Amino acid sequence: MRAVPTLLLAALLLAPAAANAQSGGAPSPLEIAERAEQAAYYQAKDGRARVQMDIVDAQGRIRERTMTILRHDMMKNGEQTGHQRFYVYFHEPADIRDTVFMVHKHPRTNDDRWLYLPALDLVRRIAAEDERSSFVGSDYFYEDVSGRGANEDTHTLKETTDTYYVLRSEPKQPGLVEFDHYISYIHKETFIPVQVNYFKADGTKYRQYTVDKVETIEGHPTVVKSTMRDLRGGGHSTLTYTQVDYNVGLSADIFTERYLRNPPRGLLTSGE
Amino acid sequence: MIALWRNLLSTAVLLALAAQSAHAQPALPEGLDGRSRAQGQSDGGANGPELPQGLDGRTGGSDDGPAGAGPRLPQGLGGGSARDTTAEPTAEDTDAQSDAPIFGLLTDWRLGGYIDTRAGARVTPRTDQEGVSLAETRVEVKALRSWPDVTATVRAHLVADAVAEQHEPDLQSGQGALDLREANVFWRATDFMDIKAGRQILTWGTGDFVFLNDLFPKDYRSFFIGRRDTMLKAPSDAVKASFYSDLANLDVVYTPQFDADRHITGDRLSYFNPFQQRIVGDGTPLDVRQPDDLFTDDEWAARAHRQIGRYGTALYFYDGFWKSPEGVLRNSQQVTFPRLRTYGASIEGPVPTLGGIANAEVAYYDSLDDRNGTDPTVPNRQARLLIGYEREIVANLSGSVQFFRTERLNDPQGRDDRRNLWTVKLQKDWPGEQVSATLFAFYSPTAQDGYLRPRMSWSPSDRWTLEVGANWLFGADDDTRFGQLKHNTNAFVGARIGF
Repeated sequence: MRAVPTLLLAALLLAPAAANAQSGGAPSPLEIAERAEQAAYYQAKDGRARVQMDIVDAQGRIRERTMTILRHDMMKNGEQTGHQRFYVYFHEPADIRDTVFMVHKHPRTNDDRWLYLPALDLVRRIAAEDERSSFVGSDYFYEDVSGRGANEDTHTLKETTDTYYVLRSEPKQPGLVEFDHYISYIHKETFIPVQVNYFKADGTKYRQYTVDKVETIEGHPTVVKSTMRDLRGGGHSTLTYTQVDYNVGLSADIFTERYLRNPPRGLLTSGE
Repeated sequence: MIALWRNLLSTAVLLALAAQSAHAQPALPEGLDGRSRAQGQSDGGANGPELPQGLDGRTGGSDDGPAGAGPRLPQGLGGGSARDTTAEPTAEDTDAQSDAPIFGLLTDWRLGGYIDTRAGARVTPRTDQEGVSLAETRVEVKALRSWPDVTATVRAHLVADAVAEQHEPDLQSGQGALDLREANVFWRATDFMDIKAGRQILTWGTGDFVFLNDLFPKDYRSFFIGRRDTMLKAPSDAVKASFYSDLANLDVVYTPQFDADRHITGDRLSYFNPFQQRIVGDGTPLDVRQPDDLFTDDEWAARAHRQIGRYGTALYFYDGFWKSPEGVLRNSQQVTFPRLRTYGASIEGPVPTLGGIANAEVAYYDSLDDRNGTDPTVPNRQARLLIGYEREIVANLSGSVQFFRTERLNDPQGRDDRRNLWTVKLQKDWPGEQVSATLFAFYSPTAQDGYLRPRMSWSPSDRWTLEVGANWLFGADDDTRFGQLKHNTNAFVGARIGF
């Protein structure tokens, strides 16, 4: 399916931010980055949302995708292991309706990804591993939504404002990424990264992520609308989350071939 | 007029100020600044954002759930069961759980589909075929309805085909004005068993356009004349039962009446006729006798599979018939489908260090009507091996290679009993432009034949897809798999709109 390249959907989409930030001594830059990652990707045991993606190109033409995303965190002795599973079911557009994309995310090795194409009853493993390529043709990268590990970059605290920790982050392996560095504005209390600006080596800002709306859902501050802008190409993509639900009780079995071939229709979100 | 200008001006000033302050640091988004600006949001579900616990000192918790309001009620006291996924029914669940009469009204069904028009022409000297290889419009209608644990699916193609000579629908061969692709009921019977009964598309195995243990019917006519890739799989009329356990999962498929491939018979595609010993076309159709006794000429297929770490492994079994007419009825000019039983295994998973996905699959074809290989009218037993590897070469460009070997067993001394086939696939995507280009190439050094399958598609909008492609077939000899099709080389264009 052309529309799902090397992507992974993910955590940010469903991830609530940390709700219980503790005040106290100023955390180190790495701690801030880790807290932001933890807040963004590992809250609650599972989650479900209907995700609307609007991809707007420089000419103003809009493409829309609608998905249900299910997320499940693998647990061991009551602790999160860092391993996560994602199930992305496409409702729209018509051409990819009923297609399912599944990911087993591993914290220290490449993720496993599958695609199910209903017209062929075909389950395919996806070989692509580039995490910084477009997610379903949008301005979001796979990694923007599945989460970039805090340990992949070196962080320095640039500034602390009344509201934000301002982090400057440089990649430890520059050959694997297209940016030189990025600057994040991390909300001090929730650790939600409210804005992230990406820069090239010559200082040009070429890419910007912004959180447009946060809602508290079941006690978790949750990003329910965000935008990624391609400042050079002129396009942008907006993600809007509705019907967000946490601790749904999604069994790990759902994230297997059984449910790839036959979706758990009672668990999918509906169109109203 | 002046008021309008004043308004515009003040707006501009405000925007400029906002932009300036945003330059220094971003404004807090809605939901983090404690103010409600939620009116008019598309989801309409929120009464305005609420500050979370820890932001304003109050106990959190919203209307959405009990999570923040204290401990969750235990199972049986109204808190819902964590295991039962349909506990805590919400508005979105009721759709799937409506208890309308069986099959209900049309409005209870989810309808969708597409209209696909395509045209193609032969571009090399042809043998007894028209120059136009493809000229058709296909309307797919898919209707789906789900109840708790049950889903019914109907998917049909209405076809207006200017090249076909037959317009009477033949649901078995898919020829004519109606091609019923799916009509089945799926039932999630228990925790450990699913059943799907009716007309369905079935696929398993690890090959890409190469099949060893997948003996479900293929549609090679569609494949070579330029219909959509998704047309390669033809439907089966079957019952599939799937069993799940921690040890392994088991699929068993029973097809009460043999479903052959939609194979090449001279209609639409010229081929090598074994009786005439030459390439013939439309005027010399292959005379085929197909086993068709219900419950006697039946097929069984089974797969046991499990995930071992990051590797998918499977064992396969099939009992039925050769899927294309590879046998000859004695003392006749008729071909038929001899009995076949196969056993196989496969493994698929990531390659350490190198990256990418590798797969290996083997199969043993036991030709039950001629196990000793002495009957020249029946294909011999075979051993088949497939090794494949796929990876991303650079961003948005992926490549794969497959090596496929077929070895005839019990062949007479001196006869070349091997066929090696290589395939290479390159796929380049331009996600921003919604353009995709693919080249799939087959080449057999032993048969000296091959097949190039370039495709390019562009979606100018979410609804429209335009496609152009070619099927270039070549071979040194007239009687090899691709060589016999060399007079069918064609190019086509297509357009599809989804709804």
